[in-house]
Amino acid sequence: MRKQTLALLLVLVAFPVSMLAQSVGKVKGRVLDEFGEPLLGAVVRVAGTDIVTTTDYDGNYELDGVATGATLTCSYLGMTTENVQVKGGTMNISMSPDVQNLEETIVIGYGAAKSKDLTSPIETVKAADIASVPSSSPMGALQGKVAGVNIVNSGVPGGGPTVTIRGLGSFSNTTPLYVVDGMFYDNINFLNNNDIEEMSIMKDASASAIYGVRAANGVVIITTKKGKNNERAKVTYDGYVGVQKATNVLEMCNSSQYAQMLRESGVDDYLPMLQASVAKYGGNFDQNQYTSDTDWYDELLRTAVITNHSLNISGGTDKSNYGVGMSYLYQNGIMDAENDYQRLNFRANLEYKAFNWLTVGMNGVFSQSTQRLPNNAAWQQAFNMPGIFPVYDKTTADIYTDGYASPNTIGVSNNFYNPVATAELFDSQNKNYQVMSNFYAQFNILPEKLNFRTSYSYDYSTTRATSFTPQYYLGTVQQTSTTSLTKSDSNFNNYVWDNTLTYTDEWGNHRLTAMLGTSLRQERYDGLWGTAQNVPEGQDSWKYLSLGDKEGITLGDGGFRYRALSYFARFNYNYADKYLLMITLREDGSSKYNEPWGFFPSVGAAWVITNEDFMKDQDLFQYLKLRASWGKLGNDKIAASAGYASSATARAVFGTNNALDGYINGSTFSWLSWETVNETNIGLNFTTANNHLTGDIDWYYRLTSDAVISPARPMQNTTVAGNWAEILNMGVDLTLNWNQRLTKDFSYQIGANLGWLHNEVKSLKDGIKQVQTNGKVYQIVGEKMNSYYGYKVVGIYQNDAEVAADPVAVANGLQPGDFRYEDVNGDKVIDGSDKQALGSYVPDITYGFNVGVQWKAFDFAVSFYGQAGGELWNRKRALRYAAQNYNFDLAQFENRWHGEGTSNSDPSAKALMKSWNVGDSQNASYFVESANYFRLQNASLGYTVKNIQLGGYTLPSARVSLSADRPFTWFSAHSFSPEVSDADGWDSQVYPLSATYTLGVQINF
Amino acid sequence: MKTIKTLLYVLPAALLGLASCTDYIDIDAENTRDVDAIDYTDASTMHEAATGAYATLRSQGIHWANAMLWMGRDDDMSSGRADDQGDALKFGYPGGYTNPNAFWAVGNMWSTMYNIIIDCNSNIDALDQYAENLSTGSSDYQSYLQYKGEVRVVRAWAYYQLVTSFGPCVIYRDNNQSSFRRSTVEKVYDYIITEMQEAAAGMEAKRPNQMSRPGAFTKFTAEALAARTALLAGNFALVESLTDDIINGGGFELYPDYYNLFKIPGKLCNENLMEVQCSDFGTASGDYVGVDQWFNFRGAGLTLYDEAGNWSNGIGGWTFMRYSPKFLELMENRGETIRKETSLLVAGTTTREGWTINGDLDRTAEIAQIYDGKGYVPFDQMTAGNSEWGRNNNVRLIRYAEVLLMNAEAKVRQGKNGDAPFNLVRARAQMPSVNGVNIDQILEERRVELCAEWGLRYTDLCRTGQAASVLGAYGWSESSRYIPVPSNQITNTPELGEDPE
Repeated sequence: MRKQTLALLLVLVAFPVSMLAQSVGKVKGRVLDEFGEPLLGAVVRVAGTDIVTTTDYDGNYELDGVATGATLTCSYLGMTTENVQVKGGTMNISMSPDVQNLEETIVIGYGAAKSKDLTSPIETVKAADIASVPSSSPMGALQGKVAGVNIVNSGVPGGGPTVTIRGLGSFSNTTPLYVVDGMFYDNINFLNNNDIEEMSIMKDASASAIYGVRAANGVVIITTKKGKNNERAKVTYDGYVGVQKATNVLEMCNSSQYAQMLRESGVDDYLPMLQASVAKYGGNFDQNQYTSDTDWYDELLRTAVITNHSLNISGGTDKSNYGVGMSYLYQNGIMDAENDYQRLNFRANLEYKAFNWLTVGMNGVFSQSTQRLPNNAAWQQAFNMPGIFPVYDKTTADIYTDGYASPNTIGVSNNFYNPVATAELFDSQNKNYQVMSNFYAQFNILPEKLNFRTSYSYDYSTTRATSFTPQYYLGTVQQTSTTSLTKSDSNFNNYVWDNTLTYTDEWGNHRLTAMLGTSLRQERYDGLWGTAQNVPEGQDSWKYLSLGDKEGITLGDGGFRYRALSYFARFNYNYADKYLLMITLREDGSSKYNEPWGFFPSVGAAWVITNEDFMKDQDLFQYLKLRASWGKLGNDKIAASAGYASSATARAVFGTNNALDGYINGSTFSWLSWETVNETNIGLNFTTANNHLTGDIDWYYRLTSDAVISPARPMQNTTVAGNWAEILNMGVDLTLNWNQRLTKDFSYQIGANLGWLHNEVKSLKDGIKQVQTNGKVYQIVGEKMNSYYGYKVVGIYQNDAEVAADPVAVANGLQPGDFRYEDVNGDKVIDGSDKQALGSYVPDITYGFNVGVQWKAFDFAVSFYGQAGGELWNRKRALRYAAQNYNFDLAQFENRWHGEGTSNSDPSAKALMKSWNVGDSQNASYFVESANYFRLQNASLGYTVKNIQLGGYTLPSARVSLSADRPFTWFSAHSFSPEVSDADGWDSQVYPLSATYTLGVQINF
Repeated sequence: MKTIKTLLYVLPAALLGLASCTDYIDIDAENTRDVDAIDYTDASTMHEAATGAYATLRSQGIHWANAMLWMGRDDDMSSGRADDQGDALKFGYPGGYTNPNAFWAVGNMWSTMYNIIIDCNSNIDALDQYAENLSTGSSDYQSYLQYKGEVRVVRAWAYYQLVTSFGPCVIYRDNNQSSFRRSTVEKVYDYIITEMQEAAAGMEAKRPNQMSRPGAFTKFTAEALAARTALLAGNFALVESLTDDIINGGGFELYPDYYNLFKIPGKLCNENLMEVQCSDFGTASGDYVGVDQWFNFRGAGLTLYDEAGNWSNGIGGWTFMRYSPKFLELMENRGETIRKETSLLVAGTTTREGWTINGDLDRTAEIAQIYDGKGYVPFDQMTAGNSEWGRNNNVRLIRYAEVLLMNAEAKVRQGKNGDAPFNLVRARAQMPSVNGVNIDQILEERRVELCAEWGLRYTDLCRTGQAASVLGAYGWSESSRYIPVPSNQITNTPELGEDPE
């Protein structure tokens, strides 16, 4: 990832003393790579002057007014910067690849540092790594690319991924902080992949502590694309068109298999349903044949288009640089109903050096998107609805809306819905408008040494949500008697004002950078919403609350305002490129808390072993650096402290149509502070095998203390939050990259990354052993976060003798084919005390590897991604507790117990009808499935043509590529994909992920 | 140039220093109201604390899942469905009495009742703070006693539901109490009775529908709740004196139309002693103060066919809470007419409004398709434009008919004649009067008159010692009389597992 790096390095070339450096003249030449191939766009500058140019397609440059003896500095992305002394009129410059990326400038928050000066693991991702991945959000494109960063994508068009860095360290919020050109964000879904120049992912405390109370979940710093000084105007088009298609579509029972399950269950009451299907739609009940055999997933899915187009123009002169870009993304949904996402972004930046002591600039992104939402309830309904009734039924068209078949026609009402109708009789959309802007001025008080920078970032975003429910009648349950319209307006006004003073100096072997800063920040949200009934149907232009019933309109509003004030300082010290030290200190004050102030220090040190004298004679390692860091971080993305009991308004009716307002006084209240993370990181980063292999390995120990958890108050179901818990995340991140260019036409790279994580709830509140969160998962001391909790299935009762021998089976009237649960306390009774933790969605291991090959004009890349050690909750199956005549997936049919010895893990058809096995309160481990998967993440083939002659114009380069994104995934769960967008791993109303096949074009004009 | 240089040094210092103003972060939280902001010297807001208690009773107490465990424990009614909430059947007929403590509804009942108790404790504290500013004997002080009494009635009702369901339970006297040791059943009975007698002393002697806030609880509500509890405690003299007081002093009367008593026309009628009130304010949509799914939960599918026999309209509910065929048989054998029609919606029959009661798929023959008619509101009584089952109806908690039957029982138990109150109930139900009524007749009358009302049949069977003989066939034993403390409560509060004291 650090391969394509802009680096600067000065190399002095000896110049004969006899030639006096007095004459001034032209210097020209070519810039070539290590195989003698010309480099386009290399920057050649006369050191210490403003004389600069870039090379053309043949690598040619020409500079005027060059004094003999002057030094030329030549830089090129991914190459080590060369410095040559002018010896004559023609100077060819040969460059070599910067394998170690030591000179790479890394954005570190309120400044930048060279890669070689870092004391912590900071991973950078460049534009090229994500530009061509077909994802609606830039973070989605990072999946599998960075060790320790776990990304779970959403299939919903425009749905952003869930991102966690180094495990889950909070019960409240695990979202990293995104800093886009100085502005703080919770996600960057509003950005186009092509808006981004670079992302720096701060994984440890030493790197992220500069963001203090916001840093505990890791920090991702995003720099949007900018122009560069002294760069000729560059026009780039980047685009793709593609199709998305669902993969691994779950196979369900067909009508006769479903009917066989019902018959085997011995529950005769459901047979009338089958008879009704035969009577209404045809078939033969006695021969178990049904004419209606609807494949609901097939009815709900389609192949959908995705396309993205970006145009960027950037350049710069000596005093200024600029960049302007636009991009358009359209993603249609694979659910066969109206659901899609489109986004149009404009971006511009300008920087001008007004005086030699003052540089001013601004940049801004305007993003406008419309997301038409799918009704995800249809996915679960498609799982539940058997095929024995059709999508449409002409014979009942005068009763049921739009000619849909009603579940009532086969005699069911509660819990059964026509999934296609559910998907289509839904109309909900969000329109988002977002403006991000940043204005700055930098005062160079002492040139190259002391500067002061003030920067004001402002973000305004608004989401207008409209949700309309039409009037329809599809039976006694699936119906709405009046239309209903809900609208909401959410406005966010946030600003950050940063002031930093930076001093850089070096003397002898000492190099020092010191920075002092302050930051002021405000987040403000205002929302207004309303619902009205009887809004006329038919046109979008009628969707106004004021066109609905005047009586009964409900309105609400809400808002918050938080402020923060911070002081921070950072010292970087480098001695002889051998010993590095970085100290950051941040004092944060937040209006969210009753005790507002917190102090967040960190320290990092590194030792470059290969720069020691005793390492001079070895050639095993070309570079070896040992790093260690410790720091304290905060997480303030938790609820604000109440600080006092609040009084809730309450209403009660007294008499006809008369209600009085009253209150219920709260008896308790939260007294909260931020969560704190203490993190230790020890890492090694090395280059070996003759500069071909680079590697990073880091071990970390992150302990969240004061984690906010809301246990139920004793006796009640109301909760009160407190800083009570501890969470441990310990792990190893490993990254290896092999890079070799064998001939001028052939090179290849192999990369691998692996993240291993141990996640554990260390303690909850005193005396509290477990806390249920979200009504779904449990936090249990000694277990992973977000555990499933229930009875563990240890087998299936195989015969009557086994049933008779087990008092549990006798007491509960069990039969062969039912689950045998583990009797944890051995008291021969299965009750609440026999429940246990059954797994969690948090994976132990995530890994990825990739291979890239370039041969002549062709490039080929393939990457794989996988994860292991997590479990998901198959809620689709578990929902059977709500209606036992729901459909079954094919595996439930094929693997069922149907006689002694047929299965010791899957229940019989009859057992699937009993609450002992499928009851809502049992949470049997049968529904917990391995979330391990391995995926061909991306395969792409590209062909690049250079110097295309178009009449008199030479097009510098064009690349055409074909790619397949996520075409194949291997896993065992009974699911579309174990990558489920529900953070707790509940696979229920999850929009399936799709494989995307794209044709891409990139043109440099 | 020199000024610029000076500026270059001064500006950073000024801007870095500017931020040192910590007032910047000293701002108030938006959109919340502080408890301390309530002005307890202003007696005109005192009623708001009482109103809060009614709100918590409605929103916490009248929860659909509680109905399964309150009314599904006897042999006349079950939760009704095996395909959904199947575990609810394990608390009574016909699924046995294994009472699994991990069933979510068990934890839900426990916590909703204690939510009520804790909310009431808070609001009683608030009322006491008003009282500190009032002079004893003033009219505001009288109001204070009335309001406080209402809140105590709500709280006592929650204890009554707890003690009849869980048996021993924690008396949580104030919200700072650190002990979670359960009290014995007898102590809880005593607590409820004492509470209600104390409250009644300060409350108005009116019918709820005579109150300036129509339906507010009165002295008689407190007495009825005390009588209910005294019946469990076997203190029949107390039952008699309390119910006599209600009968003689309250001006209550039975609503003549038993069918409509449970429907919209019967809201806040003279028979009402305790009702949870709902209102849709006359509109089909929008503002609604209601009881969530309480009615919808027990709603059956109903279809209206036109004269040609074609589908014309339909409404539906969740089809829980169903009667046993045996109970239908009892109604028929007794020759019940209006009470049978009102209470039982038998699948395949038609309501007097002409709607056909749909059958639904179910699991076993034991669970008949006989739905709860006391939750039924006919379509023509619904606010036009709405068809949600039971919307806008009130939930009846205590009726005068129950007071009369308690009075009759208390008298007969003490060797007196209970015919008068007993026959009032019979007459309204168009049943012939009985001379020299005995205990068994009273219990059966209660069973028929008060079916599907708060599990009174189950507590009757338990308190009269008949449970073993009647329910034993379904697995009942003395040890399964009460539902165990929910497992999620015991896990984090082990003290609840200790023996009650």
